[in-house]
Order: sequence, then C-alpha cells, then structure tokens
Amino acid sequence: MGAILVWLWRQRALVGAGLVVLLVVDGLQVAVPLLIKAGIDDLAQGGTRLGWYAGGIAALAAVIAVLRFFWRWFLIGAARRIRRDLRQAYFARLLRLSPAWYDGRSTGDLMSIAASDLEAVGMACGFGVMAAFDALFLVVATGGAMFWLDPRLTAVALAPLPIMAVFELLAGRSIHRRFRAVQDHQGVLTERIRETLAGLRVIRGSAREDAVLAAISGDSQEQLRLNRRLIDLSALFDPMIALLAGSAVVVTVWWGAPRVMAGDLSLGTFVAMLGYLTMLTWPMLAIGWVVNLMQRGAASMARIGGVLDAPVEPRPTGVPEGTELVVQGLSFSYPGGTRPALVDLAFTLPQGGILGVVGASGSGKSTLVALLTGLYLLPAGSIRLGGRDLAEVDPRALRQRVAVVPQEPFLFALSVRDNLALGRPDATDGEIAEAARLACLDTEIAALPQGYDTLLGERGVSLSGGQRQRLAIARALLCRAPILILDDSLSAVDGATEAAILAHLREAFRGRTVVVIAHRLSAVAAADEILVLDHGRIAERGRHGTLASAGGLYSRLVELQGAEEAEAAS
Amino acid sequence: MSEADDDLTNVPIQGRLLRRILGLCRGEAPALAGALVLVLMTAACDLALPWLSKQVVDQGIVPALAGSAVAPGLVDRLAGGIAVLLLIRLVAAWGQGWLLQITGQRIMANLRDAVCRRLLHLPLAVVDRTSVGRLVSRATSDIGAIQEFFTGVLVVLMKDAVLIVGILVILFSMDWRLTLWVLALAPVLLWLSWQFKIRAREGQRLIRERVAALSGFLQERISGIRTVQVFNAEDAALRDFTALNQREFQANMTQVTLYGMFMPAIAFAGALATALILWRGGEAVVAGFGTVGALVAFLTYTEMLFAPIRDLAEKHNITQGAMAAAERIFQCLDEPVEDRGQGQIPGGAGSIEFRGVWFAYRWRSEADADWVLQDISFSIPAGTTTALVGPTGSGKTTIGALVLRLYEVQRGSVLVDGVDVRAWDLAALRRRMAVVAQEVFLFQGTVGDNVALFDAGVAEARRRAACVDVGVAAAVDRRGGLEAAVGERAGTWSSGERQLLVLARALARDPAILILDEATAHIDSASEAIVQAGIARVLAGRTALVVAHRLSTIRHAAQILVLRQGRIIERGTHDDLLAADGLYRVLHRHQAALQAVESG
Repeated sequence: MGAILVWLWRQRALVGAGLVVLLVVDGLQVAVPLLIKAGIDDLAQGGTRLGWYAGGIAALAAVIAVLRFFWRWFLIGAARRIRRDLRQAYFARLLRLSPAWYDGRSTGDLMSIAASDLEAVGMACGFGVMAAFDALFLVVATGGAMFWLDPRLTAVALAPLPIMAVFELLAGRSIHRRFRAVQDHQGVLTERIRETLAGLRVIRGSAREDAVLAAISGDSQEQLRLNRRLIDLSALFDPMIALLAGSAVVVTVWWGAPRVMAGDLSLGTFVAMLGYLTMLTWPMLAIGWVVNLMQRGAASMARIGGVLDAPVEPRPTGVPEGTELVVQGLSFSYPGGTRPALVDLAFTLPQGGILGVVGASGSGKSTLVALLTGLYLLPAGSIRLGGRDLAEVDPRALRQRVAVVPQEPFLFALSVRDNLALGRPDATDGEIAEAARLACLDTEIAALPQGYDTLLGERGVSLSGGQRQRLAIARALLCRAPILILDDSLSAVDGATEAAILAHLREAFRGRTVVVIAHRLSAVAAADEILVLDHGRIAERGRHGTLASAGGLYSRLVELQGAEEAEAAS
Repeated sequence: MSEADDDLTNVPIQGRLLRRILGLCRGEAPALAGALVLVLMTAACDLALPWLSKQVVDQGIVPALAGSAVAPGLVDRLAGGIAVLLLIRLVAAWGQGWLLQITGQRIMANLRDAVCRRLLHLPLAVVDRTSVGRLVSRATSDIGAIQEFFTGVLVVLMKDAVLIVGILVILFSMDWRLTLWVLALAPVLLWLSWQFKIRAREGQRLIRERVAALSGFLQERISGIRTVQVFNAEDAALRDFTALNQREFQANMTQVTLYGMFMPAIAFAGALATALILWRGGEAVVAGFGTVGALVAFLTYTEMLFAPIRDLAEKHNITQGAMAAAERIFQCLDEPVEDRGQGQIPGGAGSIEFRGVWFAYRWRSEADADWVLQDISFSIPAGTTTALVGPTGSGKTTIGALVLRLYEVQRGSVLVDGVDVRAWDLAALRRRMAVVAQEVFLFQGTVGDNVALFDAGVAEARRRAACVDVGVAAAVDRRGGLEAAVGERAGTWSSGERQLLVLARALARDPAILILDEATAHIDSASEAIVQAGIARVLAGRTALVVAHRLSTIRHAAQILVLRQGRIIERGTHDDLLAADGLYRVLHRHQAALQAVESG
C-alpha cells in the first residue's frame, strides 16, 4: 500500500485537484433532493415557485456535468500517468537485470506483471481513489443532509445499508476469486486448442483426432464447472443488492409515512429522504469495492516492486586495452545449480587466434560463451581481456569487443535491416549489405518482398532455420568486434553454404580472434587450439592432428564422424 | 475460412444469422422457458414497486394531510406488500440470472466442441489458408462474442422490452401530457449515448491496437533479453518502448476525455427530465390533473425508462460483434470436412506406388496451378527403403504428405498396398504409417502421452520399448520416467532429445510404413550415431520413405529418387547414381568438398 501512495504522491497536483472537484460535485449533488423537497412542499402553498426550483435543478445539473469532466480528467488522468510511468520504470529495470535473475523467471510471468498487475495498480490509483473519496464525501454529505432533515428517520433508514457494504466486500472478493479461476482455466483451454491447431499435421497424420477432441472436451467441461461455481454466486449479487437497497426503502416508508400523516414530517422531506437513500446505494457498494480494489492493487504493487527493487549489480567502469584473452582457474556454477558448470578452466587466446571448443551437450560450451560475454558475475581474476580482469570491465565495453552468434538466434519483429543493425544502429546500407554478403544472405534478402525493409516475424515473413542463423552471423559481423564467438551457429545451414560462409569468415576475420564452438569436428579442425570439454572440465586440448591420434574422447568423436565422412566420400 | 481481418466488427445485424444463433438454443427449451417466466416476474415486480409507493402517498399521506379518514393499517399493509415483492423479486431475478447464464455457458461449450471437431476434420488444404492464431480465435474469442451477445443482449433485451412497455402504459395512464414531455427527452438521450458508443468503440479499438503493439514489443524484448544485452541495444529498446508507452497513454487519455464529456452529458439529460417532471408535473398537481404520489412515481419510472435507452447503443455494439463472430463460426461449420475414404482396409505389408501424380497446393484450374509435383511415378516394394534427395523446395516433403493423404492429388493416383488412398478408410490408412517430420512437435503432457500420442491403448511396456529403441530412455529416466513433463513449458529437453522423442512416438505405433523427413537434422554427432542405429533397427522389415540432406545417411537405400523442381530427374541406387554423373553426383561432391575445406 505504501508503494502505491508514493506513486500517487508523485501525481499530487492532479490527484489533489481531482479530489477538490469531486468534493464540490458531491456537495452539489446532495443539494438536488433538497430542491425537490422544496418543490414538493411548495405544492401545498400553490406551487408558485415550481419553475424556479426546476430551473435550479437544471442549473445545478449543468454545473455538476462540467465539474464531473474535470474530476474524471484529473483523477483518472493521474492514474493513467502512474500506470505509464510504472510501466516505464518496469521495463527500464528489466533491461538492466542480469541473466542470472532471468533464469528463475518465465516470460509469461513477467508479461502478466506488465499486463494484469499494472492494470490492477492503475485501477487502485484511479477508480479506487475516486470511489474511496466519492463514497466518503457522499456518505458524510448525504448522511449530514438526512440528519439535518430528520435525525430519527435517518437512523431507521440507514440501518440496512452497512449490511450491503459487508455483503459487497465478502461476495465481491469471492466472486473475484472464482472469476480468476475461470480466467486461468480459459488460458489453459485456449492453450490446448492453440496447441492442437499448431500440431494439426501430427494429429491428422496419425489419425488421433478423437483422442485430442476428448482432451479438449474435458477441458471444456472443467471450464463449464468453474463457470457454474462463479455463476452460483454472481447471479445472486445484483438481486441481493437490490433487496438490501429496497429494504431501506421499506423501513423508511413503514416508519416515515405514518409520521407524515400525523404531520410530524413534511411530504417533501419524506420524498427527499427516499431520494437520498437511492444516492447512498452507490457509496455502500463502493466501500466494499474499494477495499477489494486496494487489496488487489497492493498485492500487484508488491509483485511489481519485486522487479523494480531487484538488485542490479553496480557496473564496473574498466575498459580493456587489447584483445588477448587469458582464462585462469575458471570455475562456475549457475546460481542455485547443484553441480558446477565449469571446473578449473585455463587457456590463453592470443589476438588473431582461433580457438575450437567441442564436447557433448551439457559439457559447458554455452556457459563459456555466456561468461565471455559478461552475462554472469565472475570470480575475480578468472578471465582477463587485454590484461584487464573481466570482473572490473564495463559490460558494455566488453560487448563492443565481443560479438556472438548464438546457438538459437533471436530475431525481432522488425525489418531485416533493423535486425541486422541491432548492435550498430548507425551502420550504413553498404556495410549492412556487405555483412549480408559475407553470411551468404544477400541474394535471399533481395528476393524478399521489400528487400531489407521486409518485416520479420508474425506480421511479416518467417525465415527458415538456416536463414535465421545466417542473419545472426551477419548481425555479429556488422558489429566489427575484434572477437567473434560462433556458438554452433551453422547447424541448420546446408553443406555448400556452410563451406562458402566459412571461407568468407576466414577472409573477413584475418587477424581477428575467433572462438568456434561446434558439434561437428570439421568446423574446428582449422583451430590453433581445440578444447574438448567433458562435464565442465577440459578433458583434452591440442590441435586437430594431435588430438585425433591421442586415443581419447576426441579421437572417438573423429571415429564416429569419420565413419560418416568416409561413407560420404566413398 | 479466410484471412479477412477479424477486427472488422461492422457486420450488419442479419435475420439469417440471428435465426441461426437462436437455433443453437434448441434442446435448452425448458430451461429457457423457465427463465422467461422468471424474467417476466422480475419485470412485474420492478413495475409494481413504485406503484405501491405511490399508493402510500396518494391513499395514505395526501388524504391524511387533507384531513380525510385513512383505512387503518394501510401503510403497514403497503410496506409489507413492498417487502414481499422485494423477496419475490430476489428469488426471480436470481433464478433467471442463474438459469440463463448456465444455459448460455452450456450452449457455448457445445458450440466450442462443434467448432473444434470441425477444425480437426477440415481438409488440410483448407486449414492452411488460415493462420493458427485466427483458427484459435474461432474456438475462443468468437465463441466469447456470441456468449456476450447471449447473456448481455438477448436476455436483457427481453426484460427491457417488457419493462419499457409496462412503464409506458403506466406513465400514459397516470399523465399522458407529462409522459409526452419526458419522451421528448428520449431521442436526445439516445442520440447522445449512440454518439458516445460509436466514438468509444473507435477509441477502444485504438487502445487495443496500441496495447497489443506495446505488449508484443515487451514480450519480444523479454524473450530476447540476452540478445538485447549482448548487442548493447538496451538504450535503443528503452527509447522505442518509451514511444510505444506514450502512444498507449495518449490513446487512453483520449478515451478519458471522451468519457469525461459524454458521461456527464448523459447524466445531465437525466437531470433535465427530473426538472421537467417537477415543473410540468407540479403544475398539473396544482391544477388538479395529477397527484403528488404520481409525481414521485413519475420520477422513479422515468429513471427506469432511461436506463435501457442509455444501454441500447452498447447492446448494438455487442450485437454487431456477435454477428461478425457468428458469421465466421458458421462459415467454419459449413466448410465440408475431409473425405474419409471408401472404407477399404486392404491387407498387405505396406507397398507404396505413385502413378503419374501431379499436385499443386494452389490450384485454380489445370492451366492456372503452381505445380509442386509433376508427373511423379515410382513404386516402393513392401519392406524396402526409398530415399528422396534434392534441393529445398523440390517437393520431397509433399510426397510424404500425399502418401498420408493429407492432400488430394489433382492428377494421377497414390496407391498403398495396391489400393488407391482415396478408396482406403482414411483412419486405417494413417494408422498404418508413422511420420517423423522436420519440425519437432511435442504436446503439453507427459513423455508417455507424447510417445503414445494420447492413445491409452498403447501399453506402457511398448512406450518404454520405443524409448529404449531410439536411445532416449536414459534421458527420459533422468527426468523421472514416462510421467515426466514435456511440451512448450518444459524447456529442459535439448533439441536432439526432442527429436528422439518424436522418433519414439513413430515407433510406438509399430507402423508398416515409416516416413522420415529430415529426422536427424537437430541431433549432434554423438547422438546421431545412436539414432542412426535406432533407425536402422526400426527400418528393418518396414517400408520407408526417407528424406535427408546428408547423403551419408541414405546410402543404403534400395532406391534413391533425385528430385528437382517437382520432377524426378534421376533414380537408382547410390552406386548407380554416382556412376551416372548427374545432380546426385554434384550434391555428393559438394558434401565431400565441404569436409575437405573444413579439415584443411
């Protein structure tokens, strides 16, 4: 709750102005039944001033209408600003958080914070604040007016109303919970249907339509059951409120009418009292509503705060001079991991050197890439770049010097050009075209409907796995970093293209440092040194020729793949 | 089924569609009739309540004030009557709300099942024309739109109609002149709320659009956060986000302004009615035409009359949305389903034959067709392996799809076990084969579900055996056995392991015919050796159609077909083709050369 107040305080001018206007509007609204009362009482005197009272009601209504615009604009406007600023702060923080922080979280959870939690806070700040104060003002003003008119009748008439507030509070909460259950399951059902349609070929090709339909029907029935649970309660809500509001009227009539008949109470007052009772229905509902809104808002704010307040490591400021990589005694475990991902690695990669890294899945190859790009915090002194400890190097400076082609390239729903220029937004068209040529992608881009301006992703063209990999290669080349890391980045590219790209790379990267990570030994055979990783340790190291005949893990791999090669060559 | 924009909700309200929507309610008649009775009861209570209050004033208070005698206990009786009516109303309103909503949910669940069943049985050629997202919305948001129409419009409309007629009758009988005055305001109110809803809907559409753009951006940046960070692209991302966020804010503020202008204006129109009634009605009372009680009742009835008028525009919006949704749903339901064949289930060991097959995914006429396959003829004797080789787009995958009869050929015929696939019982045909496709697709669920493809008839032993045979058993056991979770949300399976699971799925079916389409593309060398060994075991004694990039994997095929641009340009064994000095030899040289380059 405190955090929400902080954000409200930042919009204090708007919120304050809105509340003042709200106060005035509520005061004026309370005057309307008084005018009606005066009009009805005037009837007994011959109704000479009726036109004035009617005119007064119309004039008041006009003023209220104008003022209502302002409170809405001030209060809801403030809430929209808070939501916008919170969202901005949220994304800014997400950009700064480290992969280690992301490891425990799913995109879906972070998206749901951005969508429903921000919405809930916005509701609490806008309609929540509005309803809270509106209810407060109205109850005080209406109650005050009623007491002024007739305290005893007021005491009787108001008796059923607190029950309404309590009912709304309890039932509202329960309904919300059941509604959420329905929503959540709707998500499950939608995902099931989406998956079925996405996997339609598999299902059709294996004639499994009936089994899948049964599964959907099962989810559908569960959805029906959850909906029934919701409807059991929600169908009761409005009629119950109507009953409670009506009972206040019954009490007023039963107790008040005889007093009017006895002459203790004017008819106008009696009518005005009934009018006020109608006006009080909303604040009673609002009380319960506000409490629920605020609770949801506070819970959501806590989840948002979990991200906003997540610790961000201070960025070191060191800048490496030179590109020689020295790795020494490097051991690393993922936060929360049970076994170390890398154990006591040591190697030196001089400027212009080519390092090959091979090993089975899970042997630590990709972890090494993550560490070389500064994605995780390192033990001091374990990796040095240009003589500088990576733990002291500004990650931005590091990433200007290291370009990566990841195993699974990530493309954004932007144009081809913007995807290529991700790391260098200032690259010229010529540079972009050259990078595409080196990655053997230029002719394919030219064949796209809008060339380099073609949109990728859901709303545009989808590329094949090989094209995606080549785009990632071009993207990395465009960075012009002195160190290039290829993380198994040619696996989906066909043989002839692979050969051409490798030849291009050799030409473009003459004199630059390259780390090649690969499944297929042919890709690392030309390296100055090859590291064979096994369960996070360097099992063997050396050049292709030496390793191939050493009788270890590497030569076994050579045998496996060699058999294939031999077969292909035969 | 088309790619037409689903967001266009401006479908006019058509009797044809309306009748068909109402037709969905068949079978729920008793519940709906009961609900209708309760709706009428609720409306009657709503009409009677202000009338009872009026009686208190006109029969009790006014005569008493004038000094006339009032029946003893009149107020008690009237107050008691109001209380009883309130209780009846509670039960009736609750009952009708419950009945209608539950019935609506049931009808929609049935409709959803029908849509899903239809989608699962449409010819693939029809489904291919529509994106998965839009297909999903047929079974979800389109159903939702009809549901909203059902509970938010149809039901309320019935009640409103009864109420409006009742109120008008009462008002006219009390004071027809005053009624006419009040009704003069109704068009103003209707116009205001109509204008408001049109603009609000436009504003809502804009907000939806901008929210979608914003969350699409956010989703992508969160999934690709590593890429953003590694390429130092945080500042650019934040800048773009700020712009999108501001645009969303602006759209919202436009809406706030709109609401701020119209909501008070609509409320003002209501207040004008109050002033009017007090003024004209008061004068009538003074002139002796009306009563004070009638004046008070007038105020209440007018408020009750205006509420449905205010909501009319909103209901119109919902109805239009539902019409658009209904049109799409009915179009989908009317689409003819896939032909299930002529029911033949021939015996046989699984031979395949193509006779002069021509096929196009896009086919308008013989002259206007993008032929993917042209005049393809070959035959695969039962129990042998045939490999398909050729550049991307040469039609290899399509041949597999035609064997499964996922598409209909335009010319020629495909025969399995000597019988045209069109004569086969479709399910039996597909049950006789298994496919391992290029794209690995795993369903949410357990390993067991995925291996058996939700077929409870596949015994656990067979599921296990399939995992063992393809060499994924160790990986499965490491994660907790056949009950371990897979699917989109269980991302801990490597792509190689996922591929192996799909291979196990094919094996568990014990098919006579196996179609392997690039089945080893995602597998690393160490695993590939295992998989190849697995495949070799699997292929023994089965008919197989194998597509592969790496020529080494298909060397032992009894027959190799080399495809280019939809035609078979070479055929024979590995040795035949090498000797023939054609495309196969060129492809082969490429791969050998590549290995030489890499190792050199």
